[in-house]
Amino acid sequence: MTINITIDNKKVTAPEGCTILQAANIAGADIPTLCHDQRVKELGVCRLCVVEVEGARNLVASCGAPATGGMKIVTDNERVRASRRVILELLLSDIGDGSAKSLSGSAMEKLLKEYGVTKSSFPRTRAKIKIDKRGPLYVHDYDKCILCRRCITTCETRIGRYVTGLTGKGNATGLATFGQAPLTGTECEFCGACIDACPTGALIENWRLKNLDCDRRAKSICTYCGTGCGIIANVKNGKITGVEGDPDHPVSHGDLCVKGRFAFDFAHHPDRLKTPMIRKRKRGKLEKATWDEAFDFIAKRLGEIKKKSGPDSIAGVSSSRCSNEDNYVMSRFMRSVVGTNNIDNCARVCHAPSVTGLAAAFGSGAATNSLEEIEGAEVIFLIGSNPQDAHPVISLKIKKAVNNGASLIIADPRKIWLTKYSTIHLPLKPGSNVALINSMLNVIIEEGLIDEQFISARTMNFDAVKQMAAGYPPAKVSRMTGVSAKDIRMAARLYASSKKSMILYGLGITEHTSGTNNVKALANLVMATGNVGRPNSGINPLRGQNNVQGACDMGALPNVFPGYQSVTDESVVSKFEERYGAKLSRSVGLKTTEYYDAIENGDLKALVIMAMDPASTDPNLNRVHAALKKLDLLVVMEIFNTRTAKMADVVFPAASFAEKEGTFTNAERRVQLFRKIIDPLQGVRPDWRIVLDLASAMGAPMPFSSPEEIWDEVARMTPQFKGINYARLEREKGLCWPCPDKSHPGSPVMYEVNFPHGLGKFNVVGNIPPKEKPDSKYPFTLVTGRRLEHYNDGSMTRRSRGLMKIRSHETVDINRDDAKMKRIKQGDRVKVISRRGEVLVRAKITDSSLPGRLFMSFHFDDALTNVLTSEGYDELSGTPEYKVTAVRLEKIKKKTSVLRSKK
Amino acid sequence: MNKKEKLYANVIPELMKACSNSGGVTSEAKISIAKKLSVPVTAVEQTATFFPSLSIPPAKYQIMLCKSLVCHMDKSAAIYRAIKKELKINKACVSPGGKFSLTLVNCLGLCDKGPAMMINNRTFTSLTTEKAINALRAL
Amino acid sequence: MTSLFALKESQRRSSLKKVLASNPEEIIKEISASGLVGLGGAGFPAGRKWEAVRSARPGEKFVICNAEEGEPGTFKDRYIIENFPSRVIEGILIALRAVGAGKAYIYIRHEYGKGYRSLLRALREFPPGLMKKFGSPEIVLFKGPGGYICGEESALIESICGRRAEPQSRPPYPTQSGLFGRPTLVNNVETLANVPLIFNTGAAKFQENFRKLFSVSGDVKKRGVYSASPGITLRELVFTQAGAMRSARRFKLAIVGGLSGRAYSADDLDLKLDYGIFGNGTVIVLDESRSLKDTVLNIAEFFADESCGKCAPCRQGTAKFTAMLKKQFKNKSGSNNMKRLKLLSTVMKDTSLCGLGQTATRVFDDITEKFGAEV
Repeated sequence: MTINITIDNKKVTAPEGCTILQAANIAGADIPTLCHDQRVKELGVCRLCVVEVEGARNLVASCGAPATGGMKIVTDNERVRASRRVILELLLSDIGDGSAKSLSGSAMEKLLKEYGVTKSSFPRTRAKIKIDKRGPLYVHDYDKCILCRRCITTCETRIGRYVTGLTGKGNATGLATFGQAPLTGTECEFCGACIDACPTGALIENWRLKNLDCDRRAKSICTYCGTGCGIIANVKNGKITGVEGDPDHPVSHGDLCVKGRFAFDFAHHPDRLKTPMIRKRKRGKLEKATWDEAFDFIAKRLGEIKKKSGPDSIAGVSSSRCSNEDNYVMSRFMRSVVGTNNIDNCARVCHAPSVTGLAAAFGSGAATNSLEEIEGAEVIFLIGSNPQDAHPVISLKIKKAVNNGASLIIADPRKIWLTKYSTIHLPLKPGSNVALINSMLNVIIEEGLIDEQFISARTMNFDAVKQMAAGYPPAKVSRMTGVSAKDIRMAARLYASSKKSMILYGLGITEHTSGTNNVKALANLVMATGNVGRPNSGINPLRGQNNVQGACDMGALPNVFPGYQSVTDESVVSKFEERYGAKLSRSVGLKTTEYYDAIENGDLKALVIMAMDPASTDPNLNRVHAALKKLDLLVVMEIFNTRTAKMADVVFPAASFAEKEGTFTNAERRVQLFRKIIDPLQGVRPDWRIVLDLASAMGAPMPFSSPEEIWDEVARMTPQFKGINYARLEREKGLCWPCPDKSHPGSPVMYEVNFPHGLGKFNVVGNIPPKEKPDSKYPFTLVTGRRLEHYNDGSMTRRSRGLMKIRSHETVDINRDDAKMKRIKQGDRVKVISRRGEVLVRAKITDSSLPGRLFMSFHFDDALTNVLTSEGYDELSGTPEYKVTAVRLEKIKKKTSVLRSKK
Repeated sequence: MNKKEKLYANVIPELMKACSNSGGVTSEAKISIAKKLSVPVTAVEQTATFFPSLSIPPAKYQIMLCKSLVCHMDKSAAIYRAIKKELKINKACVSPGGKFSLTLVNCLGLCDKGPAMMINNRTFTSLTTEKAINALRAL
Repeated sequence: MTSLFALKESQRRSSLKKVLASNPEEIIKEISASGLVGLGGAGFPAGRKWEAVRSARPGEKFVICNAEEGEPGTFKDRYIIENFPSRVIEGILIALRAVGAGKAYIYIRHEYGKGYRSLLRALREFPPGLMKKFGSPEIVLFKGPGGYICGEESALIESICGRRAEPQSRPPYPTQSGLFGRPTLVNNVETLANVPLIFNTGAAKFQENFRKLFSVSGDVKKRGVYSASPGITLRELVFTQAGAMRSARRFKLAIVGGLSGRAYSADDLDLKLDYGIFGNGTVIVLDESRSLKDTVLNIAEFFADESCGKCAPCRQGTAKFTAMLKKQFKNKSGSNNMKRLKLLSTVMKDTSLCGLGQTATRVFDDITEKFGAEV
């Protein structure tokens, strides 16, 4: 429906229900605004957007006033101009010295210029406000505040937090945290959305205070999680001075989290490795060496090992943090130069079950829909994932959906922050996923909520699964899961109530002995309700690392080439043999989690690791450390001297993401091009370059001279990527594979017509209990996971000064009542002991931990959490059971000098 | 209204209850109200700091004297000066020892009986300087 | 004083009986026919407002009686509540029935202790059988934390919700989306108190005999609440009803409608205080001894105190206006300052979000127009 109105004597047709401001934009009239923000509700406080409406006595604020048919509007005349000028002067009168110079560099400055306001003619009446530089990371210069409220409105509605509030009344109104607490004493998550919203610079980043200008601004993609947000780096004198969000980015739209926004200073940290190092003698020290020395050393050693024990005694670990191009040359190196399929990446320890589980159901193991579609979902089932900490910008989309009326079901053994938004929280026992999900399926079948049409037309094997589900009635499952039958029923009905129901899941589903089964169980739910192959539905594993999807896509896996083409498929292998000009293995290689057995057996002698730190991040670390020490050769490519690098025989200094170009693939299969922000540090090389140079040193050069050439080969060899090239990526802001040809627009929504092998498959899945159960000796269940402010092994984020100010050490999160029972107080030092080791750490009493359950992350060097973690793993995928470890807590006496984990 | 709104609607009654003669609502009280009503403490603070009646200077007897037009015409300013002098009110608007505080407020709705003042919850109308001082001396 | 609102017990019962025998549409028809308008100052036809709430989307609805009475010079609502609280309760019950609401709030400023107790007593003493016939609605006595802006209906609603009393942009209007986002009827005490009178005499007779309450104060002999038919002249109200000037000094100025109203000089004494002019019925009389500088400054300070601070023109404007007036009166800054004051006044009127900012400088404008030299 449209309406006809007149704007500045021009006849305009506008959609019914739009505001005068929106209609004016259609007409091309430029109405100034200050408090207006499209992403939050209309505030109407600055009154700058006033226009003259025929028949109205006063001027009308166009931002909120609805345009009605027949309205006659004038957006600019003397009366309107005079009002706007006076309002600008009124605001300016309480800022600085009342002159426009006080606001130089800000968005408001432009308006002042436009209306010819250089100095306010009104007297100051608001008391001067001192700048609050406590931070951390950003400051409050409230003397510049015009009380437009964009900051607090953004924080309350989009972020869901209440950090700062209005105080006082009238002209004395101000903004403050409760009790004037510094930001670290509030619930601020340092996402920076308020800074972006501020039009006067009253909220400003520390770095920008020091460097208001820059030489240039360079776009890239964030190096942290799998959301793949767009960033814009400010570069001055060859260094990154600061980072902002990219408002044009199709996924993040300018949003970032604290890491993406503030944790870029690792790139310039003095700890950056700048020279290759070799440990010439087994028990000797790592010494500086030249690149050639290092390559020769490796070529010689690898040659010896290959000759003595065969190519399969050598394995490679590729990197989910590095680019697609880095990953592809690494896997090509291992296959064509070393001659083995022993190549894997860290997906092994996180989302490998997603790949196997979803492939078993749909024929392909990746997310079915795009991240943007979260915002339009009607029901979101979030299970085993804490996006508020691990994927903050995805969490923003969930919050937006809920604000728009979507229902959120959360299944998590912890009372995570997002339960504030959920309709129902299912606090299931760690390790009882299959029982819970099968029970939900049971309810959906029993109550006739299945999509019979979809099941019969597009799937197979439903009857077997129907029979299986009958064995999981809510009453029985309630005991197994600790979730009431009533809640199971409610969640099931809610999920099945919509054709826009989307499942988002994470490592709480995959990192279990039943990981693959858990994923298959979820896929059953999706197919039973027909919630796949359509927008705003589907099942999306939230991939953790910035390029873990890409690493898998590039074939850095022991059983597939790029695009999941099998290594046991003769036609595929021949195709690659022809391309590589070398004989390739036809047997499936080892998974990283199988390496330790192989090392202990003497079957695996050498390991080449690109940008991964298993000595901090694999489970059961005491065993890992012993095994790594046993290797004949350990080669590591890194940017910092991590725990694994410290154990290596050869270390190569690599370039960070900021110093190279290439592509990353995010959780929604979007391949994104990222370009160099700064020149590589003196002495470093990009990982793909290191691998190419190593291949040359070993007499088997690969024909690439740039990342683009590497990508072009991948595209040529892989049907799903054939239509993707750098030029298109640049133009179209990334493409979601499958993208089979140059004119294909990419596939945000998969399986709209068919599944890859025709029909989707229902899989019978049984409950596989966790490897460890709590008992009298180890009565607590430890769940491990992520925290917002730090990332993975912490090697990058712990070198970011700002982030260390927010969180500087690890804690074991314990329930209030449990703490009381064990007489543990906030901040007490405790020992967390498992069957494999112990860790000393400080206790944090929190409501997010439920009775009997503890939580720790693995980001800190001084609390090596993975010393504790279980030896259990998922049979099919090899993924370790990080989510269920039986531990006990011991208070330690006050006089303990050192906080170190037992080796 | 839903449960959340229902709880939020208790913020002002709770603030007024917690407001004592000791000058308003303490931080602890605000935190406890926030917890009780499942409302963010910054939201409680936003509301609390908006209403001057919730932060009258502390005293056993809080005097609120009307300064709006009609009472002003009736020379409330002179009464103000007299009370200030009599009780030796300082810059923080309290008397030495803290027995009295003196605040100028806007229209009390007693313009037909002005000048008017309130001491805690009691109203005193048709004031003269003498009447006001006598009333204070009686406390 | 006036006993306009007195009803014998028999009259009361028969009025309420009449209401109980009518359906909502019929009740509102009667209200419309009576010509009753909002008597708190806005003057909006009550019947239309009630109908807007009645016909709004079904579900929970609310009635709010606005007993904030913060406009300086106004005390008529206090008078009604202290002397005729039952009229208020009855008006609320009738409104609840007419709009289809089950809960009402009486928002009374906390300073009105006597009035609060009076209403409490009236609620307790209300015949339970009769209350049951009206559906036993919930009537909440809400003590307002105070502040002029709480009298603005959307700000009042915000404060009941627990938030800062800040007026909201309209649309949507409270009749569509008010308390907790539900259709809400907000009416002044006097408006509601007149409702049972409508059903006592019938709409036609009510309209014929309608009397507005006037709060008269300032330099008159007999300050108080007077009832008079709309159209009474200023002269009659001041010089006949209120006993004329309290001293030998002559009439200079009357501020009608409170500080947010208009100012009239001796030349305007024959002005008919009719619909659209009387506002909330407040009349403050100033004699020739009164300093107009002092007066406009007092008014400016009042609005700077009471501005909620939400919108820029009022938050900034009221404070600057006061500061500039002070400066003007101290060192007679001359015509340029006056020009800027006039410009500021215009912009505040044109762009403020609510009535406070829009009317804060009206009396100043009138006084400078009529008494230019003195200001």
